[in-house]
Amino acid sequence: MKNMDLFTSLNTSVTALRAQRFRMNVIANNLANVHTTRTEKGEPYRRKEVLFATNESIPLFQDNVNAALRKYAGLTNTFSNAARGVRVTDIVEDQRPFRELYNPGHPDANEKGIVRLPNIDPIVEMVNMMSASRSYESNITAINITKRMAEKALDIGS
Amino acid sequence: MANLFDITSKSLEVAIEGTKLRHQLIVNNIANGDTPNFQSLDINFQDALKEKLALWRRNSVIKGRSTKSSLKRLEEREFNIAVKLSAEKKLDASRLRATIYTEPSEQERLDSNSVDVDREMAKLMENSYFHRAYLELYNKKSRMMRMAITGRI
Repeated sequence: MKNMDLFTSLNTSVTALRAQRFRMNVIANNLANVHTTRTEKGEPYRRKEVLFATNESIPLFQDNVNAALRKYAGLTNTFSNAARGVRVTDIVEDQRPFRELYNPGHPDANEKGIVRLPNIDPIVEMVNMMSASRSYESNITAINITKRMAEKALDIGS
Repeated sequence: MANLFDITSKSLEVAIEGTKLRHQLIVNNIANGDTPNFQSLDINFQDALKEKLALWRRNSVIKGRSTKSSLKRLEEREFNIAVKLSAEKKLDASRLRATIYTEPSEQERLDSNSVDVDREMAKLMENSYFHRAYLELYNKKSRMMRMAITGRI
């Protein structure tokens, strides 16, 4: 049963993978809507962003950490904001102003001929995308190392 | 049975558990690499273990010399085993005083997150190699034990 610790490490990495994938979805959605001038709300598409926070809802994992801490580290008050992975708390809309472009022939242009375009900067989205994919990769590496450690632990006594 | 699981196995067990705990912390740091206000966490259980072992060594040496210096060889050996056993219990029962601390960030980030992914990845590798080394030592030890029991290599 000692290997359960490594499963909780695995869990932590998985929460991060999920969060980064979600972030990637939102970024992709932003990029896809870079020219969307019409949404259900009657205004252009607003850029969306995800918010991350430390996860507090994995009881099994936390219990394991606390038990290990009590046993080996001798801590009576175990840490409150520690090892629990990450989760997506919210998707927020970017409140920065829309881009404006003079294009009188456009169906969504106002009486002055100005079209409002989404407040998305493709470069920013690309940078965020790179950041998300790098984070994803580092978590994959962490998973691989956890896996190797677990495999090694299974070899005890052989 | 006295020597089957001696101080070495005990401290190796503690060390293996320690590396797993540290692994959890590092993995969590990496997972929270993009979480605002997250402070990276670490633990130093090796120093605590070292301290405990030094204490144990000192205790056993002092006890062995002061009271039983004139014993016959066999008795002395038995006494040493007894001291060892009580010390093992002490190591097992008394807590290692290793604390989890937050690591200061080397570069300031706008979201006050103190995770440095490069550092964490290096720590991850280092820690997994320690884990591997401890397990290897444990295996070597049990192999020696088996050799002594069966008389075969």
